[in-house]
Amino acid sequence: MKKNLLVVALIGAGMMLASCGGNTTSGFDTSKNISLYSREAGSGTRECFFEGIGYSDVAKEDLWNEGVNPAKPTSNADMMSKIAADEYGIGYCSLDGLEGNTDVKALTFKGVEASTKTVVDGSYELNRNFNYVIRDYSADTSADAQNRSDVAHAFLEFMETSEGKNAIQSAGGILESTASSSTLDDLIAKYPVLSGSETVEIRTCGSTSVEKVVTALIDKFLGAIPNKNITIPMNQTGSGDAVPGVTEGKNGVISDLGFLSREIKDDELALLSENNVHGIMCKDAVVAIVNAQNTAISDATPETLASIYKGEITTWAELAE
Amino acid sequence: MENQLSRNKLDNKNKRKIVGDKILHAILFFLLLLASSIIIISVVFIIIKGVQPFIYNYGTDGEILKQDIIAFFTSSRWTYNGMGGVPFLVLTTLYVVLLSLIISVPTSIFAALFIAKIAPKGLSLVIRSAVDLLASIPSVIFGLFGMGIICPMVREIAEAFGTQTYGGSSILSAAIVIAIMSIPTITTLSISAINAVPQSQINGSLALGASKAQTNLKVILKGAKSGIFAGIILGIGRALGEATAIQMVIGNTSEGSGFYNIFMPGSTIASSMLSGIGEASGLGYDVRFSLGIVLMLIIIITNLILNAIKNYNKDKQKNGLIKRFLDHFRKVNDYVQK
Repeated sequence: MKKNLLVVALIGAGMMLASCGGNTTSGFDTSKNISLYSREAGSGTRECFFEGIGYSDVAKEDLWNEGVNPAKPTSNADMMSKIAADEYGIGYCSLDGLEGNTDVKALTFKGVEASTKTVVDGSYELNRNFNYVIRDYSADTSADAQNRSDVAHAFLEFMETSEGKNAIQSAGGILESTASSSTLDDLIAKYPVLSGSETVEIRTCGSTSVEKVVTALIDKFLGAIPNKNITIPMNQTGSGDAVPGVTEGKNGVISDLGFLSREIKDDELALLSENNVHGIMCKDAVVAIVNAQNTAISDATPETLASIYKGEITTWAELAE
Repeated sequence: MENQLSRNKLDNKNKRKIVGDKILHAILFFLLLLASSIIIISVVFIIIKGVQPFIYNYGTDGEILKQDIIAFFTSSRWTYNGMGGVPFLVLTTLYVVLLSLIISVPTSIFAALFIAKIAPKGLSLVIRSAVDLLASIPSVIFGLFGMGIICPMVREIAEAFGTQTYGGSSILSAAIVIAIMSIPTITTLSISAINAVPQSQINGSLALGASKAQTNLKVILKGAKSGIFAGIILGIGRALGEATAIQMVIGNTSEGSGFYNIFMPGSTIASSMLSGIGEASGLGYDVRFSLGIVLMLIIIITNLILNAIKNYNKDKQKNGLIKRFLDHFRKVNDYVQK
């Protein structure tokens, strides 16, 4: 009895070990099915990708065609590790974080490789703007509103300084314009509240995709100004909440700064007054990725990507035809 | 006089004791209320939140956006736009749990038998503490283990079978991870059940000439049946509600018509609740509470069914005893009448 159990245990352990070491490179078999990966519904990366390849039916919801059933990694990093583990997978992720990853292969889009340079000069088309919009303070003349207006405007101007641009870049944002000539000292001189001791709280709202960039900016900004009573709590829920958040407010709270990981729509623009300053904070690129061993594809057109995700092309061999 | 005094003293002492008892009772009762009210409040909260998507309109600009109640019970696709359906999520959840039981139940029972009866004392102590340790490891660790070890393993198995998986993210991986997670629970309870089998029964079996293996399998396991069953019920509870680890290895798809293929990715109720919750708002957020209601219902129904099976087995045993007793009585009666 004991001996038998021992033998069984040994065989089991052996099998596990064998499968651990077995990361064999058996060559790429084009007759295999393409396994599809997509981010979950509600992801800004997903919206940008499917709008960019012209298949907007599935940009926001899982309304896939019959027989199409992508697996859904839950983050950029998860997407990359799933594609790294699946030789026959295809997916997409934000350009940020893709650098130095040798397990996945980034596809060029219409022949253009995704990089900071190609995004800035506009030749890489699969990109999106991170936009901001600010609250209109003109109706409220109280001292508190004046302080908040000053801090919010100072924050926007800080985004344009070289310190601000560094913070954006360190968080993976791609910058189009060069830094303004003003420095943080100029800002502190321009807005006395930054060096005072008033307690001021300004709130942010809108997209969750900008969270990393905005957090980096806030940390840099609050760390650099002398007034330590200024706080900037974040409440990111989604791009759709940015414009309503700074105009009529959400749950009775009007936010001071709204962020969107897409363009401001026309009906949203209609809600804004001329005092609701808005503009582009930075850019982000979305890249289609496949496993590093994939030899069937290296460049993607919107049409091929769309027909892969529509289920019209199901094997890698069909793609080559 | 002296007697009277000492009696008073005694009374006072007793009174103080009684007051102390009463205070302790009050504190315990308060704690009981606190504990049960937390359960009741959270259940009521989930139910209220979960019913909202069917009633309120989440649409802006005059659009109507609410969870379609017919689609909720019929659609084979889970989406967050109000047209999603749960049937396949329910089926996949039960399927994953069933697959995991196929792996975990025999493993746990025989491991428990080995630890309790066969292994030398030192070894059994070491294994036992390892099993206890395994029970307290958080599920995200099992999820990482699943992603790093189980998924590649399943990919190799699928390749051996000539099919493709999504890099190993599949229903089989989820079942294996869940099995590993429920093994400690089932094993621990099975050990207690096996230890509770009376030594006299074991001795009796051995004295009748049964071998050790026969005794282990036929006497001890049979005697420990109901305790082992209780362990399985707890294991199923853990498996049904697991979200983090499953979400990391199952692949999270939205369509489940092919859920029976163990090498394909899928989604369980709990993993759908968790997946993408960071980006969710409005209907997409509240409808997860509706999933929560479904999950609670499934857990309650499964537990009721399992308890019914347990009681049925017990009744059968009892009936058998009574019948045997009556048979015996009849025989004695017949003998006396002769």
